[in-house]
Amino acid sequence: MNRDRDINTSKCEEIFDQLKPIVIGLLKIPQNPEFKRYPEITMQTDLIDDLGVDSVETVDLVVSIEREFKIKFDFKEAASKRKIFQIVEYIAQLKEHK
Amino acid sequence: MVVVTGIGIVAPTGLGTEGLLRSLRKGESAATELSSSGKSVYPANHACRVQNFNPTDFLSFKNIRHMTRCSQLGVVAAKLAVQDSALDLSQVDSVRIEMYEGTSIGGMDKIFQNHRIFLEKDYTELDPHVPISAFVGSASGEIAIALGVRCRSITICSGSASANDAIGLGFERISSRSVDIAIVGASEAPIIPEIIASFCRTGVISTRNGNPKAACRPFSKDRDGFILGEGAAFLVLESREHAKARGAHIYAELAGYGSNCDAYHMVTPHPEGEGVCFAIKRALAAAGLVVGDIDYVNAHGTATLTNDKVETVAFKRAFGSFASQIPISSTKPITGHLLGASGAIEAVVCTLAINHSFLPPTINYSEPDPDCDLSYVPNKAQEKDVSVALSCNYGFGGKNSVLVFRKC
Repeated sequence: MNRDRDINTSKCEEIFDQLKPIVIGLLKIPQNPEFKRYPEITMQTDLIDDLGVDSVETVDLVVSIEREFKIKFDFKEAASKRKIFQIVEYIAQLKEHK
Repeated sequence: MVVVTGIGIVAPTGLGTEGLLRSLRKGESAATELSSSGKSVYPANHACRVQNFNPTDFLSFKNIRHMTRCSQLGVVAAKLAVQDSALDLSQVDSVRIEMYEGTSIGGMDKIFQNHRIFLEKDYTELDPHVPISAFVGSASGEIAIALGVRCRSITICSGSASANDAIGLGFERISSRSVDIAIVGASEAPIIPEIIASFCRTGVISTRNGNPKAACRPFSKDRDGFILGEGAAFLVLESREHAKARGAHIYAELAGYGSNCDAYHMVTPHPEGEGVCFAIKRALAAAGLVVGDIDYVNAHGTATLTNDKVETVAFKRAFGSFASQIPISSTKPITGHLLGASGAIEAVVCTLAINHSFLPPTINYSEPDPDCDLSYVPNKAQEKDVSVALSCNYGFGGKNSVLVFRKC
């Protein structure tokens, strides 16, 4: 059990590491350490509340994720994911059932 | 009666009025070199930039993300003005407050930036928000959202007269008792390669490189144009009754506004200054004042050969026998020429002159020009009680706009 959880956690971390630059690049979030008030992308980051992602960007984000992870999102399902960890788990799920 | 109860500035002289006041008193320009190496791809290597401006000090990341620099500067300045006025906008009758914002080029930085991407990369790399956040009226929308002003929020775009017209419109709406409060001002962010280059091509920017602070020389014989500046300034205007009822601090009265159009040429002003003269007369009439009441004139004073000469002609025509006695200065060498936002920062200059009893100088004045033979407050600020101050700005298309401020 614990071993499975470790594997899942490590998979999620891997996905997060791959996802983070996509979000940063797409939303053009400055990574200059001088800008202390710019949000850091974590598992708890909320796409709408923290980053102000709108419907146009949601489409771009989904397309970029699909391309990067070679998966196919269900748009309705994807639209309900607001937190980064929810997207990470959804990607993990889709990759597993590929 | 319309009064000024709040001031917010994000300018090359710093945030707030203190920096501007200091620069005006000392006669110190905020200009710096565009390229620190001293070499520029343009004939001009200077501008007045807003230094160390981090919009996230005032607004959340998600709110500023799609805003152009023009909108960011404008939203922050408008918020500072409201804060300074101590108005609680949640307690204000929403149909009795309006917002007028001026700009000349708006979000052109984003348009040019995306045009480069379009040419060099692929259309899929374009920012989908260009039509939303880069159009010239975007800042007034962003300011209205940030402040929650729902009655009216309109962008006025009349070139370098934009700010005066935005402020003037607020003045007229309060004067006619249509509203009690108007948040008025302007924002501009023109320090972008394509804009600098095109102004260089028109020959209106000074090419006196090497000492940015001494480049712009209004009314001086050796003048060769202005330096571009960026920034935003906003005023909270209120009816005197409204301001008094809530015990607001009053900086000055906005006593009059006059505007018109030369309908003569897109760039060249009417050679006999007919339009400017008429705008001044209209503004004075609205204020119930006469030429002899004027203590100070903040001129458009762009330091181009034509403007300063024709503006002098217009002042002589408008002021008659008083022309040589009225102190006139251009503060554009200190702040830069903020295009559509010039009038906003210069409205603040006029209130500072009234509140602190001094005449802001025309710095870098070195050589008298027979074509510009009035009193230009050369190089040094002068202590003088100022009760009535005029602010004049003129935009492309022959738009002339004049505001009159009076001590309360």
